[in-house]
Amino acid sequence: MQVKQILLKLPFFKSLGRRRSHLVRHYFFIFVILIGSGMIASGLLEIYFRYYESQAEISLVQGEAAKAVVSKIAQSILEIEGQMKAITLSQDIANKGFAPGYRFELKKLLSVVPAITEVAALDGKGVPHVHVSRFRTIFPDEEPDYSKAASFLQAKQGITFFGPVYFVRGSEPYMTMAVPVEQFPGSVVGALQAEVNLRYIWEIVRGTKVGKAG
Amino acid sequence: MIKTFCRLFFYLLSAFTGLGIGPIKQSEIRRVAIVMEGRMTRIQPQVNGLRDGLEELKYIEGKNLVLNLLQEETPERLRSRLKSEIQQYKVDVIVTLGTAETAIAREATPKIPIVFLPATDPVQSGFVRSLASPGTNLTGLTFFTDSESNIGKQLEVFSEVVPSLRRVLALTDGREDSRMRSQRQKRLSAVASRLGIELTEQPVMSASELTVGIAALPKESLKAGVFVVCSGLFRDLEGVASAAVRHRLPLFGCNAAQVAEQKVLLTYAPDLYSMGNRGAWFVDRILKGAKPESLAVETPTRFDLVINRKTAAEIGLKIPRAVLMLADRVFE
Repeated sequence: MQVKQILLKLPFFKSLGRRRSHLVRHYFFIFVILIGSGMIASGLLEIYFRYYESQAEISLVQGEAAKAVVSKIAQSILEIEGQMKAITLSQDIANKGFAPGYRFELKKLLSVVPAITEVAALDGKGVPHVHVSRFRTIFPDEEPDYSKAASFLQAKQGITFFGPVYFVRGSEPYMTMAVPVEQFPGSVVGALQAEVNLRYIWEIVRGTKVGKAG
Repeated sequence: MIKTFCRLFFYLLSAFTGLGIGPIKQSEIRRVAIVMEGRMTRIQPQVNGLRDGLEELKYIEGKNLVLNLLQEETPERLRSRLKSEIQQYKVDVIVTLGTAETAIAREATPKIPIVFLPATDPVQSGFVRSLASPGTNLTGLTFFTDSESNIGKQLEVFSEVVPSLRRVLALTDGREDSRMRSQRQKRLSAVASRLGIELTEQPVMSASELTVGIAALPKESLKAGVFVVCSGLFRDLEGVASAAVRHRLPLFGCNAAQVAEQKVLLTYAPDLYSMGNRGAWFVDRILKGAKPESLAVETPTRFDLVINRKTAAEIGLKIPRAVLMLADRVFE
């Protein structure tokens, strides 16, 4: 112990002690700076790449959801077409044409297909014989001329007509659909034209959530 | 320098950890005020629909939602009660159950979002700029798709259920806007005339006047009937329905609850419970940050034909089978 104390008092050994503690501090801080900045840089890079990865994933999911919705909408429209065609298969039409009793069939269609708001049975010349509506009264002299309408002309060819979407009061999406009325396959005697409120189908779109308030 | 470095390192460390740890936000309690004029003891179907709809959307009363029903007999008292509710509490959304209530709420606040369940014609009433883009702090659901056409259709349905109808007393809301009244009158008279019905309108200013005029109607062979042109004034038809049954007169009412519970013969109208349920969607969107001016007003997509067969039997009416088959609901 005494020897150690004497040695530490010598100039050479004094300076050696001072130099060592200075070097330790020096290398410690370099070490901390290097490691710390490496970790921060790697964290920032991870955040950056994670962000773009999640954006890409979200777009993919939204794309898939949109495809599913489009497919559901198309399915619903085809189901409505099927219901309309079923109503045209009537013995009365085959034998007597559009008798007043056909009004009950059209009202049944409105009851079974809530998306249809109006339906008219047109004869071979486009004259409406029976016309029922969910929301308004229709009198014969208030009927428009269907004979030149694209919907009637296409249905008369035996092809279902799907009209473009139009908006009522700027907010309600509708489309016109017309199916041929046949006495037997190939013999078109008229058309059944309906106005379809797409809001029911729109509900499916609304059911697809995109974000909290979207 | 060492001290500076240590300080800097400590701040950076705190910043990164602090991002993950912060004060935990407690779930907010949202306040919805429901505004209704009148002296109804029964809970309105829209309120039940709204409550159920909000519950489906995870809003639990007493936990994260306060639903406060403000019900007063007169518009003045309702106005004052709504103002004091707004002053006393932070109201997040106001829900109104009719056109008159919507007008009162609009007067009370230009800022708090208002959802009407329903309003008759919000564009004509000046509540919104258009159905697609309300552009104001109001939005919601309408009772009619087009009031003039729909009311004419209701009269047509009345005449199909009661084929012998030749004379109709139409009870209308005397507080109705005069321009809307004259447009509606024109269409309704035209429809009545086409159906071979003699129509007399009787504007009513309050619930006490509802039964005036019924006694004067002829009571033979179901040739006369009472037709209510729906508005918030006609929520309670119990008195009118009793008088109508007593005088063996068919009565056309405003909603399914009246047919089920108040002996009204029939109605052809949107379902108010479904309307309230849909209203919950509007409230939810607004509470999550959507602005009412960007939420399109919705019109009904269907009207339900609801008939009370017991009332029909009491007044001696045999309802055509074809009509009964297509009814949406029949109460015995």
